[in-house]
Amino acid sequence: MTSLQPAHWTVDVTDRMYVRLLRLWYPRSFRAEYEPHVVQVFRDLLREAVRERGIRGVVILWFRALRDLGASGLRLRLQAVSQWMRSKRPPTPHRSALPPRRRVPIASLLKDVGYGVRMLRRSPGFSLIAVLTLAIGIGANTAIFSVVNGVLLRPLPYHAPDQLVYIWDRFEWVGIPRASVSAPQVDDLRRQATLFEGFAALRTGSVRLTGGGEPEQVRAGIASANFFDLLGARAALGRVFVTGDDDPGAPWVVVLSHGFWLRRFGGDSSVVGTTIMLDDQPATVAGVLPGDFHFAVESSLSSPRRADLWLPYQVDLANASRSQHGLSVLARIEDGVTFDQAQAELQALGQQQDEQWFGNNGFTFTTVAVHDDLVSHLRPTLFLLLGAVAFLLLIATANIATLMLARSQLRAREIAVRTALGASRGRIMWMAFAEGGVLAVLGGALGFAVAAVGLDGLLALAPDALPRQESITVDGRLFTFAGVVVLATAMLCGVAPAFQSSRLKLTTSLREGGRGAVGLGRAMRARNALVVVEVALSLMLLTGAGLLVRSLALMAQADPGFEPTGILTFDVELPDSRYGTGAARRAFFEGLLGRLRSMPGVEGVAATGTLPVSAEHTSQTDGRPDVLTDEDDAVMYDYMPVTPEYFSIMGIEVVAGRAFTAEDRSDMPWATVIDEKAAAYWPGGNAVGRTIDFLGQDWTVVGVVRHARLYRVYEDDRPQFYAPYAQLPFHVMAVAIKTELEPTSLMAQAQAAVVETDPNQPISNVRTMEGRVRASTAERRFGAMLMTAFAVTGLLLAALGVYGVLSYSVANRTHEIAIRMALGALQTNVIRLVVRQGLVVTAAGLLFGLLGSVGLSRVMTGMVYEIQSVDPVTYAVVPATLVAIAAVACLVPTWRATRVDPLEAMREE
Amino acid sequence: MARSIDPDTLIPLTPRVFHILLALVDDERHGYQIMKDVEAASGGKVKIGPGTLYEAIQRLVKQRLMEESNDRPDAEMDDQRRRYYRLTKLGREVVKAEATRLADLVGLARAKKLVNKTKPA
Repeated sequence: MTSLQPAHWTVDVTDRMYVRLLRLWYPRSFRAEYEPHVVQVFRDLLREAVRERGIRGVVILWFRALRDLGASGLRLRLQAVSQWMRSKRPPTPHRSALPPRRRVPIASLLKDVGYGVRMLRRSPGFSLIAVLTLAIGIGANTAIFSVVNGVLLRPLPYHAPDQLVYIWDRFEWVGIPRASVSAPQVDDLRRQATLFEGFAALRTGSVRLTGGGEPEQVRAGIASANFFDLLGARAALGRVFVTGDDDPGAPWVVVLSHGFWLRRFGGDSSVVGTTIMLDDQPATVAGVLPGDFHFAVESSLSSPRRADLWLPYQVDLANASRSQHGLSVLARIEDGVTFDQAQAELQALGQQQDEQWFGNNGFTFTTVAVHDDLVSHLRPTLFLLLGAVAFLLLIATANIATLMLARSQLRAREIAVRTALGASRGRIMWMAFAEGGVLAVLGGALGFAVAAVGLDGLLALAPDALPRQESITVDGRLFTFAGVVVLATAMLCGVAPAFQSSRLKLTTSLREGGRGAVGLGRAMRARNALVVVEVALSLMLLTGAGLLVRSLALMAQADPGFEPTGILTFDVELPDSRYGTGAARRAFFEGLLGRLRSMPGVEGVAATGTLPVSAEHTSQTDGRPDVLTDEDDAVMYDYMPVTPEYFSIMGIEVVAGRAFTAEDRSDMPWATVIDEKAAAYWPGGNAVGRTIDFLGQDWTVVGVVRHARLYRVYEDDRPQFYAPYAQLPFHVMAVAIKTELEPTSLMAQAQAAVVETDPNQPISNVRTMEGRVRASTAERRFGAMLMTAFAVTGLLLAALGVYGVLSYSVANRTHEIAIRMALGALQTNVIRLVVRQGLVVTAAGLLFGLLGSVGLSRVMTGMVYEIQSVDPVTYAVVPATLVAIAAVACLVPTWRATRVDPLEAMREE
Repeated sequence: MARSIDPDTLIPLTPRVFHILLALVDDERHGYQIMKDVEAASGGKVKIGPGTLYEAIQRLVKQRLMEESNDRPDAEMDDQRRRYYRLTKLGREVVKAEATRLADLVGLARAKKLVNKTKPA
């Protein structure tokens, strides 16, 4: 036998732990009859497991036994409760002596609430801690739910929003499930589809606003004339687009967003009808949108973009280029047509297009509800956070319940008197509930206030990419949610004390004056069980947070393929009116880069069509490497022009061939540098010297570089195709300045250099490259940060729970400890007594918590980056932390126990 | 106590309960034996943990389908710590009724050629 034999103590501990758990979890009536037998069978199994599989067998047995214990215990408990409900008898043997049961009038039930308030006022310390704890729990729940409510649950603020869908191209054979649509496709859809009210083409862009103040680059939504009608949106002033506004050559009109109108025009209503200059062309202000109009374009393809103003998309759809995919298509399904029917029609139309234009490669359209498109990627994170705060509240509730249990035990005598005077079991329980209810309502009110204040802070920290921030407000559903949470909290706080106080043994309580009346064992067990739950829940929370934090750390270490330090960047968009020719654009950038290069402290300067981790517009086009011989085969590339120094400045390593040089001019043969992913199409990656058919030209591969992440640091992108700027002079470029100084210190000088090159040219998005990298992980950092905050709070509450139970138990056992010490027990014995109780409770919580964590991390697999869901580091660190904290929580009660003076304690009796 | 419960009112049984009762048909058994019997008879498909086992036993005893046995099967095998169980008359009838019900179902399935009488080669 090669199997590892466990040491004797493992078997011993396993055995004892099992008995502990069983006593903690099974109802007493069952244990009285069957405990020895259940334990006996477990021992048989343990022996068998050790014999056959050694330590591995023990582990497997534990997993099975915990599941078995959990499930059967739960069933037994439920049985016990339902039996108890059926019996409904007051517990006292003197029933016949009591007056007959009668209905308790509402008024006296309310009196009990007043009584609950008085009780709480009598112990302000307890009440304060309880209310604050609950306020944290309820506040966190309300705050997170308000985000879930605003982002996921509230309908979009448009007419019949369920009928609105986005339509995307789907190129499955090149691995692109969602891509933007070409103008002729929109025309096809308008002519052929019958189940839709209309299709609007949409894209975003930016225009330069001049005249009446600083020139400014503003964000524009560019949409077909029917766009606002499809949404059912009206103007607050003037009008929105009307039919004909988007005809090619029609006079230019512009619709302003409410926010932009206030900011730029000071809310002046006379601006409607006037003419403003956009990209040096006149446009008439047709209207202003209402303040509650919000629309984010392109959320599923890139981060959502909000528009300052809206311009008509004046393109002859039918005759535009079929290879230019740059549009989002918004459509409204006809009344009475289901989503599935509409989708089926689009499938059929997609098939026609596949035959006609895509060589039967399998082209289809993707249809997705606008709301899903906007928020579906957030759903897992938000629900995870909601789950986390629910756990937090449960921990808080368990804490209050343990405290109330302790109090109800102290009040045993009072309750006994009440029972003797004829209070029914139900009435006694109601009193305990009333006390929990008062706490929950106070905690809830404070929590709601905390949430309202905290929400602003939360949103201030939230990443810009969080859509629908404007709809995160207080509404009826939020109130209902908070109400339900308060009610549930009250029930949960009250249920354990209520049961306990209704179970008092009348005679003993009266005789013993309240101390130990309930039977220490039972009360202690209830509290221990609650703390086990607390520890288990907080372990799960910590594990969840741990996984997210680990995943962030790995993300930070992930090699993005470029080196972001010491780089300042900004965007430049050259208007076609003044930079209509490639030569003009080349001249602008030659001048600008030259000026920037001569600034002190600058090591190098370059321009690129798209900076790493900043891709928003999807500049992707298909090309055909010469290895693919079939004319219909294609590879979808992210492509961008760059100036020669780009690779060295961005730290993108050249792995084969060369980078671009000044020699790659417009009159030279077409040259391209591709990344490793693109090179992988050739056997062995030997791409240098081969050609790619791209944008109608044959480009010769002169070099291969490392893949630099374009979209986010943690996402895999498409193959990349770089062209020399001289050969592909874009209007929209980003400039990168490499410096040994603090990059932000160059901002003013860079701005001056632009003005010197062209005084009318604005720049935007001035940021360090590191800032851009940070922004690309903002969403995940936000989630991890919140999760950590909740987990730490949960941990503290759980530690408080362990502490509370131990101190109470020490206080209760003072007498016992005194006798032990009087009989010669050493201090170490006393310490062991207390610490053992704390550690057993913690260990049981850890066991349950670990099981729960395994389940939790399965759920989280999709949310973490490059971590197996059972991440060994997280699973080692988190339980260790918990044990350490629990040990600290044991300290004070232990110290107190050792301070018991036998004489003093005995005299008190 | 004049109790004449119709066994048919107690079926169908859950597979777990059926297996437990089945294990007691031949002989009296103690808990661990029942568990092992069930596991062997079901080819390892039905596994019952100790808690679940005694939870079921408690219920079955209450329903008078099985009872504790006082006479030990074999003096040598006897183990004082253990409790042996046997079927009651009602229990035996219920297992029989359940077995008949299942056999009827299988007969039905056979008639529809869903199951072969002999195992395919």
